[in-house]
This record gives sequence, C-alpha cells and structure tokens, in this order.
Amino acid sequence: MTIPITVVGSTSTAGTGSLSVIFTGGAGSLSTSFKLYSRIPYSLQNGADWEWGLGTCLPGNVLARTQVNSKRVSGVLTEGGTSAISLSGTTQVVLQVTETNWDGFAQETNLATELATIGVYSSLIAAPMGGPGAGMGICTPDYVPAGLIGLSGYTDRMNANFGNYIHPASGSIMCFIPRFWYKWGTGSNGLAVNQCSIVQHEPGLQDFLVANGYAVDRMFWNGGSIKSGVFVDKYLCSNNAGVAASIKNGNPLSAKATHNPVSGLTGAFPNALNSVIDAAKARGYGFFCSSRFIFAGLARLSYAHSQQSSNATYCAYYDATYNFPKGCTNNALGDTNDGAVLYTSDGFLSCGKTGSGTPFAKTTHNGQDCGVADLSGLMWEVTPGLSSNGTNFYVIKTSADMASLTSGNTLSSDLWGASGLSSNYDSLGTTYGALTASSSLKLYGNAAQVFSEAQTGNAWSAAGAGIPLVGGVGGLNAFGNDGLYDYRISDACSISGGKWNSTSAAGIWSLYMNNNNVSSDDYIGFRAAIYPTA
Amino acid sequence: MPKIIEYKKLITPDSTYELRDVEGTELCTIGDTTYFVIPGTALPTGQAAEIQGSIQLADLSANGLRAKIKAESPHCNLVKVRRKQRIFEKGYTEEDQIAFLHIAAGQGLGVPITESQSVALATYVAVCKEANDWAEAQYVALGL
Repeated sequence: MTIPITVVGSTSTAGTGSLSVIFTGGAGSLSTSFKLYSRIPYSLQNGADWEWGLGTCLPGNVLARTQVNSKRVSGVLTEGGTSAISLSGTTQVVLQVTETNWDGFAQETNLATELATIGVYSSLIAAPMGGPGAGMGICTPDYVPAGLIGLSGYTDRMNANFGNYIHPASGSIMCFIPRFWYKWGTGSNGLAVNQCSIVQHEPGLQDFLVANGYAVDRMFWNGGSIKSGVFVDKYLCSNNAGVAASIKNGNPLSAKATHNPVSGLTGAFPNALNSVIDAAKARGYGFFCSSRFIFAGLARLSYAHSQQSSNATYCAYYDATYNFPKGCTNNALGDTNDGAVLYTSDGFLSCGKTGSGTPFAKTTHNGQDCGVADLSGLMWEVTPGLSSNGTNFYVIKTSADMASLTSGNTLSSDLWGASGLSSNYDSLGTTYGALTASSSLKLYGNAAQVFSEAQTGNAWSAAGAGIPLVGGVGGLNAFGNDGLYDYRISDACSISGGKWNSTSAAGIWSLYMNNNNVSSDDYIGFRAAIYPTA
Repeated sequence: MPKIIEYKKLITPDSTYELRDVEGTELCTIGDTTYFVIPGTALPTGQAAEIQGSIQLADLSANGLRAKIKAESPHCNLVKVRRKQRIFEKGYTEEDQIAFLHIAAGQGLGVPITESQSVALATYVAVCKEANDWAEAQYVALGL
C-alpha cells in the first residue's frame, strides 16, 4: 500500500467557513481517503493569500477549518491563532497525512450504517457507542473537582476502571460521563424512527452537529452553562462512617427507619425523600443528588450502545430480545429477563447490596465493568428534575445550579413549593407528552416515535428528562417495557429505575411521579453526582 | 389466601405481552406457561388481548406442578437459601448439622446418647423447626 505524505486538492467554496474539497487528479476523495472526523493539518493558497490550520474531515468531502493557526494576507503574516481568510475563486488545498487521520491505516470498527452516514466522533478522551468504554471518558485534568482522582487504569478504554474516579474522603467511586450530543430518529431526519445517534462533543463539530439535528444532552447543563461532562456515583449511596458514599457491596440507604436509613448518617437527616438532597450534599462542596436528567441521559447512552451492539463482547447484557441493562428486579435477587443475574442480599426483603450483581457487567449502563451500576431495579432513586404543584408539571431550568438547590418547600432555592417552582423550574403545563395525569401505569416504548427530536425548548427539556411523547408509550422490548407512573401530585418527587420487585416495570427508563417530597419509603434511595469545574 | 394463576406469556421481537399492573409476583415460566401468585382468587382483567384469554387458576395438584414450581421459581430457591441461612446464623456449621444427623440417626437405631448430646440435639431441632416453619409460611405466601 502506498501512503502519501500530502494530498493536493482544490475548492471553489467562498468565504470563511467549511470547504468542499475535490482531490486533484480525481484519485479518491476526502471522505473516502481520510477518516471521518479525524484531524487534518492543512494549507490553503487563495491567490497571493495563505492560511494554515487544523481541519476536521466531515461527511460529503467537507473540510471544517477547525483551528486556524496562521495566515498571510496581502503580504502580512499573522501567527499564533487567528481568523480564517475569506476565500474567493479557486483555492488550492494541501492536506497532510498523519498516523491517525489516513483511512488506509487500521481504524476503529465502523459502528453502524447510520454512523457511517451521520457519524460518531471518537476523541481521545471519550469512547464511542458499541465499543470498549462506551459512554465513558476521562475528564480534562484542569476540570476535575477537588478531591477526585482517577483510579488505576482510568485512561484505558479496555480497563475495568476506565473513566472511574475515587473520592478518597468518602471512599466513593464515580464514573465520568463526557459531554455528548444526541439525535433522536424520526424516520425523516436521516435516522430510522427511535434510532438514537450519539456523538461525543468536539468544538470543531458543533456547527455541523447543530445543523444536522443534534442536541447537547440536557444532563450536561448546569447553572446556565454546558459542562464538559458529569461525575456520577457508580453505586447507590450507602452509609460509610456517617457519609453517604458510592461503594461496591454497600447496603443501599433508604428514607425509612427500617432499611439502612438516612437518619443514620452524620447529620441525622429525617427519614423523608427530601432528606437525600442534604445527604448527597454532605459529601462535600459541589456534590448533589443525581438528577432525572442524568438518569435519562444514561438511559439514552445505554439505548444507543444497545443499538450499536450485536453481541456481548462490549455489551454483557446483550440479548436479541431484552437488550438493556439488567438488575435486581424479580423479587428474588435476580433479574426478570435474565436468569443468570444474581445479587447478594442486604438483609432486607429482596433488596441486594449495591454493586453485588453478577455478572457485574450485565448490571451497568454500558454492559461493561467500567459503567454505572444498578440503574435498573434494586432501589428506586430520588432524581430531582421533574415536579408538580398538583396542577402543572414542571422541569428544572437549565440555569439552575443543582448543588445550590435546597431540600425544603418554602424558599426560592428549594426544589419544592411555589417559590421554588417559580424560581427554578419551567412549566410544562397541565399535561406534557405521555404525562397526562392519568394516575395509571404506562410502559415506555412504541413503534411510533418515543421521544422528541427537538434541539431546544420544553420539548428538548422533556426529552432530556425522559418524558415520552404522548404516543411513545404502550411497551416495547427495546425500552425494557419500563414503567411510567403518570401522576400529578403536589410537591412531586420524581424517582427513577424501579426496585427489587418491580419486575419488567423496573429499568433504566423507569420514571414514577407518584411520590412527594416528604414520603418515607424503604425502597427509595439515591446516588450523588458532581459537575467538573467547566 | 394467595392463589397461583397461569397464563401464556407472548414474547415477540418487539413486544412482551405479560400481566401488567397486577398485584402479585411472577414465580416462573415452565414450558410455555407462566405462573403468577395473586393475593386473592379474582382473575386479572383488562390485560392485553394476546394473553387475557389464557389466564386461569393453576391446578397445583396436577402433574406434580407444585413441586415443579418450587424447583423452578427463583423465589422458592431464595426461600431455601434463607432457610439454610437461618440455621447457619444460629451458629450451626455444615459439619455441626451432619453430626446432629448422625446422632439423631443413631438414636433412632437405639444407640445411646449422652444427656448433653440430647440437649444439644433438642436445641438444634428447635432451630430447624423454626426455620422450617418460616420457610413454610413463605411458601404459603407464594400460594404453594
């Protein structure tokens, strides 16, 4: 095989944007010769003017001018990062082949037909769907919150600790989920109905992704800005010397005196659901009770990973019919859809110890040991994000800072109560999508479109919280036949995932809206999360 | 009094038609029949048309069905495990229990035992009876 050092082409694209490139001599094309979304050092000669930079190979033989390093305009050289020159007429394009951008070298497995068309970008810090480490990644070191450090092997996609961090002060293990974009298939937007395409974030791709119908997942919005990812507890919280911590084989905390109560933590929190807000924060600055957006975002990742997996190699829970994460759901320490899964009892009814499921990888969001565990069954989780005043449904604003929201129902900072709803939530109206206050159990999934494809607004927020479209329910194996309990009670506290005896209604999509902020239940726990500093 | 009902669950590549929103527990599926315990005797209504017609009370006495369910159900397996645990938790190891079986068997054959062995055996039997009673109550709760 002959591998060129450089490739020469041309473009007639005018202006300062991306270029449509044609190879000189007609041999090959940009899209077939270079790896999609790879970085390509380039030079442009437009008359007497020059530009040098780093481009990105996009579908359709398009080169994005991702980073302009220098230019020479009218004889004046500008170096050290600058703006693109405005092109006119014909421009000569010289592209440099590297060890990572040339498609003649061994490359990562093509993930799916859709990805070949729309594309999934794999950066150095995140892992693509269907492969090792899917949905996980490494946080930019400068952005790692104080007190968190990577576990041994956390940079290796093949390692059980990929993307896993420890908070030594509490002993908590947390998983880093890097920012991603998603696009939900409508059947007319380039994706089949209910196909979910996930693309890891890359600044140079942003315009392309927006133009092609992708949206940043709601889980990465916090305090009015988009974060580079989020750290999520790998396990449900248990009591570690008075601190709510994410530890393998811990006995999951609940908000009731009879079952590993939160009242046993330092702080002696009352045994009520709103107490877990304070219990999560007590781990340290920046921590908060993981949200409904994070839970639903992990569900989206899992769903896309399932669609990209055709065997158990990188998706241990793979099954031709029941292709979703398994858990403690059958009221006998096992999984309703997989007889091979077994948990160790925590001593209370049929509840297991968190992280004790075997095979462990079947119980994580990405079917690998590195993933987030026990999102299906075991214990319901308090997941702030949705609420109600008995009349309207509400979804938390993107401007709200999760770590600043408080547990009461009187203050403007509170997660509940009129003042808190007004300050921190957007109203979704009396009904929204499949939430119609029917006081009934609905099941996730339908042959019709399940979630909105919206990129902004309430439709995007609702999809971000995992609220199906009105026709998106009825039950489908691909969605685990997970339950949606459609209630609209005052001071509603959204809970996610199901519990040890929820059978098929438990699952990574499950959402129940029938509890309020002061409920005290032995089957509802929580996990904590923390955003990176940027 | 809990009762066990049976029905034919239908699983297609896209959908699973099974009992929804019914109080009770699915015990197991044997062949093409799924067994489900409900708290009373009223058969579930309002289920998917694909399964509604197949719902009926199970005849546990036919073809050793009770024993088959006990063998197949993960819930019954859990009862068995926990019955053993209740005895272990009283301090009796596997070896201890084998020793008591030997003592009891010998006693049945007329082999004399000491007073301390007799007291220990009686204590062990009481622990076993408590564990058995507990397990039996669980089976009753499961309709078995």
